[in-house]
Amino acid sequence: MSGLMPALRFLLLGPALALVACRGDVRREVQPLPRVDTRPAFQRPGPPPPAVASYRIEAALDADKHFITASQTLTWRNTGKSPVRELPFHLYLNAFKNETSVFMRESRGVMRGARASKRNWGWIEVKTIRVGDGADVAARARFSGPDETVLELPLEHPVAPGATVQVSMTFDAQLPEVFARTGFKGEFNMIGQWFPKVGVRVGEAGHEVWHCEPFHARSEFFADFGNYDVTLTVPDTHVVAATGMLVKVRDNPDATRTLVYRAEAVHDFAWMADPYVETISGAARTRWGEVEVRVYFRPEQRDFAPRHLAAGIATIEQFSARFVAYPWARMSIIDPPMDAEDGAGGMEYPTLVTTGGDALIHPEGVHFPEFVTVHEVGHNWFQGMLATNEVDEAWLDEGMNQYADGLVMDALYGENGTIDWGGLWAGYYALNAQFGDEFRAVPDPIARRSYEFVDAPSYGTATYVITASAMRTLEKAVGSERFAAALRAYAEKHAFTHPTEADLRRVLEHELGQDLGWFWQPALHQPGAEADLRVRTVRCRVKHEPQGVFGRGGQRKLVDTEPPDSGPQRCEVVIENLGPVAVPVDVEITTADGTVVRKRWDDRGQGPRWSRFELEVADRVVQVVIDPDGLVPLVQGGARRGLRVVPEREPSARAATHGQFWMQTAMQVLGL
Amino acid sequence: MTAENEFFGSEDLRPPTGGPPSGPDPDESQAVNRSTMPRPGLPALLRAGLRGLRRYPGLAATLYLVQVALSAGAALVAMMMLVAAFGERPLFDRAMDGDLAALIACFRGEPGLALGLFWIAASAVLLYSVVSWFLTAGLVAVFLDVPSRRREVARWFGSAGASNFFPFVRLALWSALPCAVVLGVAGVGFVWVRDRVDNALTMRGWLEALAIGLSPGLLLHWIVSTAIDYARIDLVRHPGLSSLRALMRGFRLVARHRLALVHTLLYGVVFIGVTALYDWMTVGGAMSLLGLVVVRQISSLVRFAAHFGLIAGQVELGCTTMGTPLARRR
Repeated sequence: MSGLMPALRFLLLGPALALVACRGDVRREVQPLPRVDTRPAFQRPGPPPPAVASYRIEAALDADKHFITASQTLTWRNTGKSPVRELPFHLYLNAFKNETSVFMRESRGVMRGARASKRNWGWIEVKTIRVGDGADVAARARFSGPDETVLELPLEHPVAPGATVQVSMTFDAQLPEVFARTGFKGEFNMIGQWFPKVGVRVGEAGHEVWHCEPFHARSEFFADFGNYDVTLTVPDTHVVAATGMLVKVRDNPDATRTLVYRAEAVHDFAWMADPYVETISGAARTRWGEVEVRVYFRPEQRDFAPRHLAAGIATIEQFSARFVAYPWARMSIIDPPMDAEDGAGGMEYPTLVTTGGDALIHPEGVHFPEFVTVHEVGHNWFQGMLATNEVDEAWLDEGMNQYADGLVMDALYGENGTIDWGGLWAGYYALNAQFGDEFRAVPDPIARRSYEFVDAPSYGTATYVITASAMRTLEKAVGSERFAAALRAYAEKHAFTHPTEADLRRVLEHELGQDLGWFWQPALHQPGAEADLRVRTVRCRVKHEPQGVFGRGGQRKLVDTEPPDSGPQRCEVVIENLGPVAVPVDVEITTADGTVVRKRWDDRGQGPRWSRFELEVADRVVQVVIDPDGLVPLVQGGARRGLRVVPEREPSARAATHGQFWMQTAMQVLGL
Repeated sequence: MTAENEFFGSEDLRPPTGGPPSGPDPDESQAVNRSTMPRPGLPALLRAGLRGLRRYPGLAATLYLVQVALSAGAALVAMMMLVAAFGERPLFDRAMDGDLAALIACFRGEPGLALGLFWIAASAVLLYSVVSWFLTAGLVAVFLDVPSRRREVARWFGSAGASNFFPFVRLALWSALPCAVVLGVAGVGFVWVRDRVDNALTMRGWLEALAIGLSPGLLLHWIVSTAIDYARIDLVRHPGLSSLRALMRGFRLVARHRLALVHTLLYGVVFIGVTALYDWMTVGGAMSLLGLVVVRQISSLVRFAAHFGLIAGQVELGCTTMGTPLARRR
């Protein structure tokens, strides 16, 4: 056994190596006291946007149990025209309390690749409630709706229009193991949707109603703007990142640290605490001054941090130039640990986002990590400032943001540079259009309440992918510069409000000077929005004198001259649209002598579902391509949108010989 | 006389049917003499490999052509399917030039095509694996008895391939047991490091995680595949030997002679190195179609030649170290 024994000894090497590799040298160290910010949280000059719902919160984190003990005071102002007799509060963390919540029933415990833990549930419990200086009225509060994610508090005295009410609460919150944007993983704590949060009054003046839906799996959040003064007490071994600016900090005798944050004109507050993260920072420049951008990351993700930082800075500068300038002084980008990325990554909060996309298969050149950062930072416009209702009109923030992200990605990496690696390349909008289901297979229209979509793929494809493709298509139809100006007008008019689809359409139609009905209804309100454009027929014949019998009586004359075999051609190209959306599109026709003719089909749905192009050319048509530059992503139909009259074998041969090599490789591994 | 010495020169060398032509074999004395040679080292095995290639270039080329023909046939069918699907579609040109979105769009528009291409390739590989039992048996027989004339080589190869096909099938069935153990160990190892593999952010970290998780499985695979190689040689040398016994004897040889493992490891390194070199040379797709075909076939040929030489070296080692089965001793 002289040969086998060393081999068997080697057999044990794997586990031994694993033990060495897994041996943790991690030791919590007391973090240096962070520097207090001296700049205002909201640096835009002039009066700040009116505050509707402002919070003062004091919270202490038990980092070992991932448990928060807190108190808060809400100052809420009735900006409507009708009195308010009750206050509903979102208790989002109760979505993770058990399997009977609306969220868990709808998601079946799985979301964006993360699975809810069966051992570490999350919950929130309101212990006391006082209105003004009154007595505890917690006993009067009732859960409204099908689960415990909305707590309704009847008010003894209605809040008159224009009046203000203060509600103080104490509550405990247990974080779940990270799932659906919030929770812990190991010692990493991402704390979002964690405090009782009042709903939003919506509707016609004088007939306002509360919007405070249960926490659905396929919806995000909707809240009023306000100011947040939040005092956080955490172990002094933990680094904290939070919405807003750090205005005070002190160490406590019990090895804890208290940090005070202030955020202005925001509609949410989220924070992160972790003992191992590192930080890098840079500055973005806007018309209101510099914005400090910080990236928080674990050491093993160090290589990706500069990529996130560059993308974050570029997004703030690009979005500020295109829409309205970023008004806050800070942007914190958290790159969650790898094992928390599915649960905590890719989420937006005001002035603080979580990113993701760090992966071996995303080296420099595959700009997916950058895209995640661009998207989440971009949400500070589409939802952070343009605070649309994410529950009822998710496309207004997710889809519009997905569209705007492409402008940044193209500016940063070129129109074909979203992927540029190993001989492969792809542009942002073309790649975006390939994500999710095929457009025609989506049974829901874009404009639908998020929780009314049939399932997550339908929601995701319609809300993100088709909306971005539709907006890009509209941009190309009306002209990029005009569309950019119209979107800027929309942002300027509705920043720090809750705009709706009607607001967006009204501004666009006003700025573009045209009725967008030809596009709006089929693209946004019909399922399977796409322009399924195909080449139907290509026919050519040599131009020749007409044959047959001409004239009457004695003048009758037979013309039977044989047409020549070659020469100038009379050709006919028919393209058809089998999808519901009519889009202006270019058609490129190539003839055998290399002549390229461009035609445009732009009837905006007024004519038949096909178009016939007749042309006289020097040689026969050999190729027709619809949307040759790939500028209209709503155009689907894949390879069918182009037709070559004579088949070409070379590309197929290249693919086949490549396959042959790998077949031979497999053959040599398994056989002789 | 040791068991090894008993073996050489016996009629057991001959396939049971269709044996070699009668008459003096100029290499027979050499074959017999191998039994009395000292146990070879790695250089001797490598020399045996080179000698095999030098002595039987035609045989090597013919066997390689079998592989090329099978794979080319499958590639041709695949190409015809691609031409039927995309020959008239200019978007596929862009896809082949590296446009990822065009590539996805093309295949999304042809549901089932990718799966069809996969099954064509898999069928070709499976067919070649079965044919390989015949080819390997014939090759081992040729290396064992070293015929010189072309016709003798052909007869020797064909008769040994045919007579050992079913023993090789039985050996493959018995080998399923250790192979299942290999798969099990590899699976457990992979599950163990899966999080680290999934979360690796550098190639080094990924390879480290894979090495840790898969090293026990790879090590077992290395041992098992080497043992199977020697079991095949044993089956050809000893007609009538049970496949299970041959497999056990293969394991015994591997256990006694670490040189056998080193030898196959060297082949593995060459195989991986050539494949990696090919990948490095062709990334980016700047070469012409003809250039790509040439580079691919040169790479495949080098790997095949290495395998050819490996078997020659294994026959050399097997002949000098594997004893005659006890049941055959008199």
